[in-house]
Amino acid sequence: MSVKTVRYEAGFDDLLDSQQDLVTVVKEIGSAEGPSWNPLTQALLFCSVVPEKLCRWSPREGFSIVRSDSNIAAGTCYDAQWRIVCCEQTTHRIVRMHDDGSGYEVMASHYADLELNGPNDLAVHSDGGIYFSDPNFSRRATLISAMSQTPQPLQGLYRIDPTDKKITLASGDCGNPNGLCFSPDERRVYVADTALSRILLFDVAADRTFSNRRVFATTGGRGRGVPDGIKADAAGNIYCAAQAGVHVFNPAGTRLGIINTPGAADNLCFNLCFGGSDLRQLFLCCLDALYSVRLKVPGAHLLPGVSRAAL
Amino acid sequence: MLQWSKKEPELEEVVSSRHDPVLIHQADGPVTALAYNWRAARLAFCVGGWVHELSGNRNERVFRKGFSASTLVRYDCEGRLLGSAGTEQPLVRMLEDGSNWESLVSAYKGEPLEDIRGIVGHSSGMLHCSDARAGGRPSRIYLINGESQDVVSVSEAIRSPGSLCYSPDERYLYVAEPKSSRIMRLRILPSGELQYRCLFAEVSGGAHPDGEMAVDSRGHLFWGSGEGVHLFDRGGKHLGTVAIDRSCAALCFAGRDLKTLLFAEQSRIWSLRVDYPGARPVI
Repeated sequence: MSVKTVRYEAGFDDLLDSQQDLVTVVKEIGSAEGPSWNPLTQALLFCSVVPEKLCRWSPREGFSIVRSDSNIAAGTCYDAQWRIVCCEQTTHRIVRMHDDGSGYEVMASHYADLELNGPNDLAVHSDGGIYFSDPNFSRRATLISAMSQTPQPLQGLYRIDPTDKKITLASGDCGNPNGLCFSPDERRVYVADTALSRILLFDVAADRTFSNRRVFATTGGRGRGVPDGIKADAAGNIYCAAQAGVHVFNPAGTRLGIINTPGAADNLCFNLCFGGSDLRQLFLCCLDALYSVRLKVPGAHLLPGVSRAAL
Repeated sequence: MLQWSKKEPELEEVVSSRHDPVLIHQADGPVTALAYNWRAARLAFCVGGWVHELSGNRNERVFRKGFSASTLVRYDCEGRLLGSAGTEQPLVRMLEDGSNWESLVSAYKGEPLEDIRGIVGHSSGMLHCSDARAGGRPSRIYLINGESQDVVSVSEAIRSPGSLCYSPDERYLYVAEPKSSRIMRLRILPSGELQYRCLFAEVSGGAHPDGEMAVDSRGHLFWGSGEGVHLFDRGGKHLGTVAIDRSCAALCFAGRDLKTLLFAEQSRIWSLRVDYPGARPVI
């Protein structure tokens, strides 16, 4: 199956060869979400939403299940000690475990004495701080839970301190936050604002909060999807799963093109991440399967405690 | 001094380090269940298949001889004692003074209740009990109407369920899964049926097959295990474990203010002051 793209600017050709085949990595797993690449084990961690599972795929060992009871994990990342960190949808909390799924422990479930709304996606800063978005999605009436009010007065972005696990509010002015990622220099953070179909941009302040909010881009257009997972490449281009596929923007916010969601017309792309030995493989977590495409630019894989040169 | 393994800073808010456990009773054999009736200030506990009682002046007596082979007791919201007396009478109930003993449900759809590991009484009058059925058949959580004694199976999704307890607001049911050292949580619908099963907590150490659970008014959950008493916050974060010499099967809140945690270390019953009272049944 060849990759389908929509090209808006010539710069898109510098990122992707649109003549390549799109690879189906894992199929028949239910809808895929929350991918994270572990360069130490050369394996991709991702979630299957239905049935709920935390899964792994590596080029050498193929597909395996890390945990069955994932509480419908959605977003994942690795912390500074290379432990798995997950957002759980049924319990509205963030948990951590070793890379083999053992040592399961809860990291965050409440803020200001109230339950979190439902942590959805994560990004780790090189200082070890774990940032997460807390939108209202998991409080809606779904297979996950009955309709309930959001406990928090706002849908915020939070930081978990790596040493004492204390949670602080990084920004409460981020709309309906979903995926988030840092720029390669970690001075800015991009946040998908799902309800208004746009990407917000903040500066990362010295006190580790997010400030100076502005709109980086909007993601409208035809096709199924909403702004969801978001990642940056090493050149600072931004990739956001949204309507009809992955929207690609240059650092100035100009949309260069779209990598269309593969498969049937009603397929949906939720999230993405860079991986592979050279970080030039882009994994797409979709409703029907996990796919990958090759890129010409590596991902800005920010590895807590590990410099790029060490990889 | 208490020996805490894995200590999160929040632990101090729940169990102050200035309190040490006090030995309050030495039983004749391993204590498998503890239940405190806060209205009558009486403690019931199971030793060697008999239900014993400890009153405020620590006088012990065998509660009722007809209530034998019991490893499990709990009070319902009206102060009646619930227990299990083996396969013959898997679910029994009696008044506070040991009188008016009655056998509750013994079968569901013609199949006997086999291995009752947990019983808990809701303030609405309904009961939930867990049946870790053997032979590879799915385990069950039963919902029992305390008055009509109608019984339905409301979950077969828990593997070998053990002790049960409610959250302080009685909206959730916690179910221990001793074989996997996990606690599962289910939402209780107004009808008493269960929905939205999820993993609440998991520990790496060995669990006790009969390890009881108790919840304080802030939702902290105490769980007796093979390593001592585990303590979790209301979100499932493992705050620490009271390390004791031998395993702990039984625990409950006690005292007029319900700020005393009683836990059994084999045949010894210890008392420990805690900062939040036990979740009082909503009556």
